[in-house]
Amino acid sequence: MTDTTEEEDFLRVDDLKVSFATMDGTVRAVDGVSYGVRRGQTLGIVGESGSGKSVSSMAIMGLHDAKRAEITGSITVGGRQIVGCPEEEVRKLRGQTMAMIFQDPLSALHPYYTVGRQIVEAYRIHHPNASKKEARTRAIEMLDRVGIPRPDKRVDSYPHEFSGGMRQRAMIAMSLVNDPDLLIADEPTTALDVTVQAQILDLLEDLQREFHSAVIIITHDLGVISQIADDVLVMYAGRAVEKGTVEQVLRRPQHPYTWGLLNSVPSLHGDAEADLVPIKGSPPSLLNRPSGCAFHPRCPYAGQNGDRSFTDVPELLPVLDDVGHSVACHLPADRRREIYQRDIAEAGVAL
Amino acid sequence: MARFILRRGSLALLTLFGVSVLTFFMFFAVPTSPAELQCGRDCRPAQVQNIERQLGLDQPLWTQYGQYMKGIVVGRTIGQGDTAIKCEAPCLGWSFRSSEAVSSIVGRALPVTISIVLGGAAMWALLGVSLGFISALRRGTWIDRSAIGFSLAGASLQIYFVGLLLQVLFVYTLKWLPTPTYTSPFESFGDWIVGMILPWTTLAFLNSAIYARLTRAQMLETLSEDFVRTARAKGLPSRQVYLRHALRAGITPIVTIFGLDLGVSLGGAVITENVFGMPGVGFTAAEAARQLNLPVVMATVLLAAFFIVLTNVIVDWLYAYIDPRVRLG
Amino acid sequence: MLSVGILAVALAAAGCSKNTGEDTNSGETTKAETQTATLAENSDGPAPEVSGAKKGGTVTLYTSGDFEHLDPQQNYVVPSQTTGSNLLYRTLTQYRENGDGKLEVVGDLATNTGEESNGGKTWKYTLKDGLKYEDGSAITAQDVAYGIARSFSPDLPNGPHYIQQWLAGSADYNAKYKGPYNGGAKVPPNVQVPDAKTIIFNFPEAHADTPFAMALPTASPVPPARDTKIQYDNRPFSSGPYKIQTYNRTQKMVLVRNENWDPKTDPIRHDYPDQYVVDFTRTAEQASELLISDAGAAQTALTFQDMTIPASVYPKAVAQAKDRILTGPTQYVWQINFNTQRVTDLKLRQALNYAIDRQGLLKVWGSYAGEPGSTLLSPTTSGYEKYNAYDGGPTGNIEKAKELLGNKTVKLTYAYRNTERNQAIAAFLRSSLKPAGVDLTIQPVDEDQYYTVIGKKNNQFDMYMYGWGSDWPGAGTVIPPLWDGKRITPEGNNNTAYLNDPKTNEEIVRILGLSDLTEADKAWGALDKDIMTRLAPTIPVIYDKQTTLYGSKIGGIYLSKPYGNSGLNNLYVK
Repeated sequence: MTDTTEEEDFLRVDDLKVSFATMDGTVRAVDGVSYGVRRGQTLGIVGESGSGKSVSSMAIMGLHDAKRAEITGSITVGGRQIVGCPEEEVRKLRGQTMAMIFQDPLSALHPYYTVGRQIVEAYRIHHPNASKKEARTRAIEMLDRVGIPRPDKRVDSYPHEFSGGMRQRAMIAMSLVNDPDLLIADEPTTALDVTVQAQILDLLEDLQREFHSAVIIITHDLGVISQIADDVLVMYAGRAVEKGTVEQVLRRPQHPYTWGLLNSVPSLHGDAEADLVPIKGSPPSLLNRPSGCAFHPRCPYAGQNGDRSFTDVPELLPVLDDVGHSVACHLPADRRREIYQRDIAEAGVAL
Repeated sequence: MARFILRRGSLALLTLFGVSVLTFFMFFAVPTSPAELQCGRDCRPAQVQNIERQLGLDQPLWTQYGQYMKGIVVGRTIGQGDTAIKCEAPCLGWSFRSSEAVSSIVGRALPVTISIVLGGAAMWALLGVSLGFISALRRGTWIDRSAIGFSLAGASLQIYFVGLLLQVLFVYTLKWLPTPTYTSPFESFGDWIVGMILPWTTLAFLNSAIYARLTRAQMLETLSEDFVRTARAKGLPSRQVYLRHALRAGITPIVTIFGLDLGVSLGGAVITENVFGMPGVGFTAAEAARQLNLPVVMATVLLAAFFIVLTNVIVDWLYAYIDPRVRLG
Repeated sequence: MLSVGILAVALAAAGCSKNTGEDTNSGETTKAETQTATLAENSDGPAPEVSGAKKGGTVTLYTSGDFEHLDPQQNYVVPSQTTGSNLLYRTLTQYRENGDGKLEVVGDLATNTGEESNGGKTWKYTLKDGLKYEDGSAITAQDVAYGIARSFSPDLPNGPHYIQQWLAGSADYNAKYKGPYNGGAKVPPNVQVPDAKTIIFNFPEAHADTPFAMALPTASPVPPARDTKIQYDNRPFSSGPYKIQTYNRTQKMVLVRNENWDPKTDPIRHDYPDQYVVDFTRTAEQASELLISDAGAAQTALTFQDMTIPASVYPKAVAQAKDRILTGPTQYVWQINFNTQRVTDLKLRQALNYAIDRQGLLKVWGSYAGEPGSTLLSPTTSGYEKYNAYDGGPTGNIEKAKELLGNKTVKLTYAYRNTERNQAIAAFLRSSLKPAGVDLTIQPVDEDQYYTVIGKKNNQFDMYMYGWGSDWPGAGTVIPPLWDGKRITPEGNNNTAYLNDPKTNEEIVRILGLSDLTEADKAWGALDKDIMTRLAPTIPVIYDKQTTLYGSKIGGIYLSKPYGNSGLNNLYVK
């Protein structure tokens, strides 16, 4: 599915670091992440909560409080630098050039305003010359586009009068109302039931084709990735541990953490309960990051390459013979292949 | 909506009925004879009997209560013979002490109290909410600390103190302001404002604390809500994010407190009115209580109850207006 | 007595008392104030011009709370009586005080102070020519009779009751006549109105005090057509130099000139200011502060005796407005009464009279609010004679008291009105009488109930503070109500010492029957001294003083002796 045209990245993130000063010390939520997304391309970012996937996308949107978060590195959106850019300029990009969809549409929509009003507001911010009427027509049009029946009536409904799926459709309508070039969807389907999930993902795919925008999908669900993403970035403890196309990462995963993620996906074929092997342990504390490879306390293979796992932070390096695929792991490439063949592949992850 | 009005309306009436019965029997059951008190000291038994007859005190309590209620609805005649008084509805009784209908006493006092309370409430809500708003946005800074400190200072002081202090400072010493006096705004709007500035300021200073703290807490809570993040992600300028999204979402408890405060104060801002010598409902009530002028006391108590019930109904209705998720009914 | 209401107010308004630094008073009483009111020879108007006075300006009067009754026949409280009698309505007689210290009773509506016949039982008054109400209609003798008639109505019970009781010949004046309402006669019993200019009173008994009684607002004319009965309070019809323009009860009253008032008929009043504004919304503190600041309208403002400068403000008033303090005696005397039914030992009562520390007491009371007193009559009352039957010196003579008590310890109960000032007084009495061997138990009585409680004959207290002021400057409104044992009833007593001494009772009847005022005055003074010397039923302690402020642009102000209040008759704006 990889778009092979040599287009420039619309979004470029280089060595992004985001840290927060707290009473207990500095939390390094994102610790040097780099990636790019082209128009028409969908990048999936996978990781557990606390892996830094949401923090990095909030940084792209410029939504961190400058007084509380320290951001270094570079983020360019359509060639414009976001890091260190005055709030007012970033604000003008938000909602217009780049838009965001959030996890729980019930809490993400204001409970006291009608859906229509919220869409109208989003539109008129960036179209100050548009009349209320024009904006309303536009809102109805968008609601229609995202598949809300009788949009001319539902435009005056409040969020609580919508079903979960409808709310997320409305949220999508709101984010797309200004034809953004970059859309970040943060766990867009997590709060929805499975059938609705599929519909929403279909809708997002359709819309992306139509608007030809760059899309980032943030999720912890590899199923979502397999359905919609072109490329995948796996994050752990604020760093990228594996990166590649969907094909590369899901079919030829290189990182033990990715293996773990794959193992924890219920198989569509077998007995879901039996197949489910969650990753042992819990995500690391970002205040007291484990030394060396941050994954080592949970990694069954740590220490198989001397003490490096405990002392050195692994770099994200290209995987041999697999162009565009990279991994940050101390295990030697052949050892990884061996383990994968023995322990993981037969689990038969069907994505 | 109709159901709401019907349901809350009848509940309100029931409450008022309860209050009226309670007040009536409480006040008319006091051991001192109201007639004797009205008559003064150098009073002959014939005069006491006469006042008793005039007040209907010689009749059973329930009859008296019925008469009273009837007076409120359709008016009634008090006393007999040449000196009988036609008391028009809503007849709240007759003050023999000042020879006039209680309704005109209350009618005269009400605009004063309404002026003090509405102006003061507008100021204290505005001041409190602004202070709370600013401290929430500037959380942890010196602005936050001084705003909250200021409002706490207000809350911990007494109106006697602040009111008199401001009066001594601005009226007697600096002579910037005339003595607080009530002038009808319809007579002279300027005089009304000038005469009300001190009571309003005092009330605002004293009452804003709770609003400041509440607003601050509410703002801090709503600022972390997802929909605020959504609003910012839409590209809304911060002012609109804070006011239209964050503050709006946190306003419900503020409105509740405001409604209750307003209801209680409208029943008579006793201390404020006394400190500034403004003859409002509270002033009148205190005076009447001191003189045991029962019809006036009764009327002011009923009025206070009425305002509390009324503001409660309005607050309930406002909930639905503020939060579309709340259904009336 | 001029209203209990005022006693209550005076007591409450003065608030807590403390040493204000003015203790120059010893046992010396005010001498120059002793003044017997005389009946004027000449009652003709107009009143002499006040030098320096000019027309114009607005005078503001601060008074505590609304007037309870402005209806002349119900008006019995000093501030409203001053306002009514000085500005709004005229009476058959009135007091002339032209600021030279002389006090005269003159004919006001009447041509003279009354023509007496039949041994003081019959009094005839002739109205002057050209008397008019505010609408230009003539004031008639029938209207004066009607005014007195309506004072009989049980619906209007709050005024003084002298004239009614004198006409009825009994305390229960309603026994045969209940006023003009519900078919009653428009002329009360024993009153004749032969023509529109003449009114004759035929009292069953002699009343030499009639010229004074006719200065009470009871003797003010009310035209029947204007009588709104119990609502007359809201808009009395004017016969004086001013009329009511607006009256917002409890807020303010605005008085403007009554163009139909003819100064040529009026021997006492002027109408220099264009308007009077009565502001009912001030407290004593506020009024005093305002007047000290002398800002804006306060420059042309003054207060009444109900606004005596509070102790907390007094030092500031002395420091900043010393020349604008109006001070002088009122008609009130404060005395510590013995309940003689319980404290029957004369020696004990005399001992306490010796032991009393008036100077210390006055410090607690507020030195500026009174003078040490030792007589039953106040120095402003005709017949007053200065004496001290038990002179223990300014701070009392404990040794003398102990001697009289035979060095025994006695237990007594002192009841006090539960106000801050009276608490302090009670505590002071307990500690200052202890060395004399008096173990004083002090017991508070609810503020509003105080006079009712001690007015009950069977009250269980031995001593209590009592205050009384005359209704006119004659001892006839002091000694009889306070010391006539035949007037004691189970409740509502003014004779709260419960003194029932046959000799005193007889003497009271005799003096009341005298038709010669001068002779009567002399007899009252002697009886005052006799009661104290022979019976010691009370300890007179303080002659009350008014101490109020007025604005810098107020001219012609004086302390009116019969009212014990700021007088308005000569007032002008500088």
